[in-house]
Amino acid sequence: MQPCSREMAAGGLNSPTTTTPSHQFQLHDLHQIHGGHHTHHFDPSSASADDFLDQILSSAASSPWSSAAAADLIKSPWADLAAGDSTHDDNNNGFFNDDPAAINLASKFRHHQINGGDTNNNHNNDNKMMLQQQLLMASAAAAAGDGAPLSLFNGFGSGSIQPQQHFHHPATQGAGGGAMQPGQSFGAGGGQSGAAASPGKSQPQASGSTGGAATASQGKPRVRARRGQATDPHSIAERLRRERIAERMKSLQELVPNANKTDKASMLDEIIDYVKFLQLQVKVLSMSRLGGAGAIAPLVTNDMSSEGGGGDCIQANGGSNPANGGGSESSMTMTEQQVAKLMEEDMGSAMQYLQGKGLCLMPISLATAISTATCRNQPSSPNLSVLTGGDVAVKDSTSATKP
Amino acid sequence: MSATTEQLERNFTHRFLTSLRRINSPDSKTTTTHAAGLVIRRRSLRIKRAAYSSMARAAGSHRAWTRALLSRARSQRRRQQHDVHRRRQGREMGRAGKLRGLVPGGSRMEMGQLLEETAHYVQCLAVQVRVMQAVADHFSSSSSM
Repeated sequence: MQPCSREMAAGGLNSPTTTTPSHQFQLHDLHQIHGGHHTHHFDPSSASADDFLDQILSSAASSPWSSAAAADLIKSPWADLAAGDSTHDDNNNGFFNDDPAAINLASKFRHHQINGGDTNNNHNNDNKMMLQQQLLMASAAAAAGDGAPLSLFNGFGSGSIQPQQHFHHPATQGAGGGAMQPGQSFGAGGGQSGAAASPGKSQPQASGSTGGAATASQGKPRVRARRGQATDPHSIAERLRRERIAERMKSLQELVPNANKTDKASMLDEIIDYVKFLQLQVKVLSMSRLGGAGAIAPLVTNDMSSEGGGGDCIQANGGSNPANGGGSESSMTMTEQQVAKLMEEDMGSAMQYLQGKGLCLMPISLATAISTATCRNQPSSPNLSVLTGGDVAVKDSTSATKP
Repeated sequence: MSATTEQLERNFTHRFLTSLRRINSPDSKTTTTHAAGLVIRRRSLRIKRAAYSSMARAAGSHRAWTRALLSRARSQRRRQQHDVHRRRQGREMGRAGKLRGLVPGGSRMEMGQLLEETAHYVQCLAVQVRVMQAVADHFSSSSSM
C-alpha cells in the first residue's frame, strides 16, 4: 500500500482556490454569446448538426461540474500481479512517450488555467482544470518507475463532483508530487506578472540578445554603435530580419501563458512547452471519446469465456444505459465481475468499460477516506456505494456530493 | 479577433462532429476479432487524426502548417507511413529545431515564418482543445446521467 500513502501525501498540494465566482461570470458570458436556452436532454443521433453544435457549446458552460472529471489515475495493484506485462503498457501508456516531460507540462500549465490567465478559454476554465488534473495524473502514473504502471482513467464519465471533493482525490505518484511544487510557484509568478511583455531595458542579456532591434530603441549605446555601420545592405537585411522576428515573438508572447520572459531563449522554451502541452491535451482527449448513440467500448458478456469466443458475441453497450452504478448491490456485483473479466484480458477495455459507466478504480484507503469524509458532510448519502473486492474498491463517482 | 475565432470554432466543431459520427457508426470495424484494447487504441488514434484534419481544413489552406498537416494526413492514409522529414533548414539544433519539429511543416520555414505559423497554430490548437473538451463532456454527461 505504499503507493497509496504517497498519493495521499501528494494530494495535499492539490487544493487551489475554487473558481466558482469567475465561472458564474463566464456562464453569463456564454449565455450572451450563444443566446440562451440549453437543455440537458439531447439525443445526439437525431439532432441536426447545428443544434448539436449549439447544445455542445452551451452545455459546456452550463454543466461543467456535473460532468467534471475527477482524475483518479491510480497505479493498479493488479500491476504487481500482472508481473509487469509490457503489452498493457503499450496499449495504455504508449501514448506518453516522454513521461517526465509530460508531468512537468501538465503541472506548469495547470496553474495558469486555474488562474484564468488565458482569456480565450474563459468558459472552459473549470473543464480545463479537470483535464489538466487528468493529464498530470496520467503522466504521473504513466511515468511511475515500477514495472508496469497502469493508468486508470476514471475519465470524463464521472458525473457530478463538487470542486472541493475533487481535490480530495490525490492519486499522483511521488514523481508527480515532486513536479507539482515547481508548478505552483511557477503559476503564482506567472499570474502576478501577467502577460505583459516587459521591454528589454533592464535585462543584462541584452548584449548578446538577438532582440537587439527592440532594445536599441531603449538607448543602448552598444547597439547604436553597431547600427552606425548600417549602410551595409547585409546588416540592413539582418536588422530587418531581427525586427521581424522580435515582432513575431511579441505577438506569441500574448498567446502563450507565462510569457513574462524577456529572454528570447526562455521565451522559445515556453512556446515549445506550450505547444507540446496542447498536443498532449489533444491526445488525451482523443482517448476519452465515447461514442455517439452508444459507447463503442466492446463488452464481453457474462457467458463469454474470453476473447477466444470470437468477435461475434461482442456487443457495444453502455451509452444508452442509465446510470445504474448507484443502485443495488447486485448491479455492482455484476459490474465488478465484468470488470474483473475484462481485466484478465486487457486493461484498456476494462478501463473503457468503467469509464462508460462513470466509475473509477481506486485503492481501498482512498475510498474509505473519501467515504468517511462524505459521510461526515452528508449523513444521509444514499447514493454512495462502495463495493470492496480485494485490494480495490469500485466506487461510483457519480454519487459523490452533487453541487 | 474573437469573431474569426468563433467562426473557426464553429467550422471545426462541425467537421469534427461529422468525422466522429463517421468513426462511431460503422460497425464493420468494431466487430472484429482484435483485442478490445487494440480496438480502443486504434479508435483513439483515428479520433486524433480526425481532429487534426478537421482543424487543418477549418483553418484554411492559406497557412503553411495546414497544408503540411493535410499532406501528411493524405500520405498516411495511403498507408505509406514513412515520415518524410524534408530538411530544408538542415535540422537546426536547439530550441528552434524543437519548434520546427512540433509545428507541421516547420522544417521548411525560416525563423520569421516559423514564429508566425506557430502563433496561428497555437491559436487553432487552443480552439481544438476547447471544442474537444466540450464534446467529451457532452458525451460523458449524456451517457452517465
